[in-house]
Amino acid sequence: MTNYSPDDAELIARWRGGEERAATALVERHAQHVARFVASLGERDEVEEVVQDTFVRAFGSLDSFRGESSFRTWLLTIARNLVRDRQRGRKRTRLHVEIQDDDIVSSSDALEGTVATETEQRLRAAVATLSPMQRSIFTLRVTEGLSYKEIAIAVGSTEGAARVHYHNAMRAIREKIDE
Amino acid sequence: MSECTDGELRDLLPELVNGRLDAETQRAVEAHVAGCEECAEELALLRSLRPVLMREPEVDARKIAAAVHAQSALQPRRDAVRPHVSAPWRVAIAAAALLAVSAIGYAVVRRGSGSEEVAVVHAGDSIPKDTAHGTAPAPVVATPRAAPVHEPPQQVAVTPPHGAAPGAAAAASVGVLDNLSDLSDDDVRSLTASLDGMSSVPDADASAGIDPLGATLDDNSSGGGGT
Repeated sequence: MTNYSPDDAELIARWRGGEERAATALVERHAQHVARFVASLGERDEVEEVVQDTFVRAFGSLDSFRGESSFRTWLLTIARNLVRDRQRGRKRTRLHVEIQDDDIVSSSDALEGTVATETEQRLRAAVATLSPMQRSIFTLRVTEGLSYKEIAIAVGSTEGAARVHYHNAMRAIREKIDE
Repeated sequence: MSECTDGELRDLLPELVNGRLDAETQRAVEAHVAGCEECAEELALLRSLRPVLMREPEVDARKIAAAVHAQSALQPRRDAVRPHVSAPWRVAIAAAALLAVSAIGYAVVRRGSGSEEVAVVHAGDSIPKDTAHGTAPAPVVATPRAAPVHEPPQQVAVTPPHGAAPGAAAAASVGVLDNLSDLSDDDVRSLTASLDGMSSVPDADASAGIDPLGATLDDNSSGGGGT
């Protein structure tokens, strides 16, 4: 017996047809990826809330999804907009700088509670030195294997800029590790 | 360490790590990496970094799915619940609503004027002349049709009541909002009788004269409805 796994387009069609389980399958398939992206953008403390908002918004406006990008890339775009709105809100309340400064620390703090090897700690520390934009692009490239075009859509940038950010990030990490 | 001489293949290392290359491209990249020290080192770094970056954070997908279902219950799916109304039909529905409002408005005017409706004459209507008496026409203020004649109220000739003296013409000059109490009952009955025979009473269909639906319905009937 083969384990048939419908693709995103089929699940979306099923959900539109009233099959609730299709939405569950889509969430289970993409939630972790969206969460990683959200965390890479600096939203570490409220990742699940942002991910949840992302899916609620996505399914609430699924009619606007034309399939021009992959469903995951579309989700990432929504997530990025939500994070940006949150960060703007913090900026208005003058907390933005504090949180950005804290973010680098929290990336390292996230190691606590896990048994990390020395190599892993060095890798994490190197990634933590990246700017939020570098980190999000680098994470999408390394963990998802997204193309620069897909990344550009997700982060609201250009392919060229995404490529430059990725290579700068790679260089910075290598330099940090070689220290 | 030798530096990479093929940036294009080097740029595909993340895709290689994520298994997103087709078989042919994968073989080409792997062959390149086998002879490129820099790419081999970068590939090893990527393979070390990926699980580190993948590890966090954990989210509860079932909880998120439950929130999606709860929200969709509050805001039903458009496709599943709300019937699609094509653009032509939206125009038709809007026009029908306009007709209904106009008809009601006209009915209210008629009721409000009671027997005085005989004085409601519309611009452009042809009104027969009482040639039997040959008296001078008495002006009556007319109203434009309920729709969509955009002319201002005009003075039009109306046959004066029987036996009206020339001087009475001025007295019979009434507007639609004026009272006809200056006319005798006989005068009113006579005027009513003469007007009843005319075709100038406003149509109940206030949209007569316009055809907002014509093109739309034609489009619709020819299958031109939008989707």
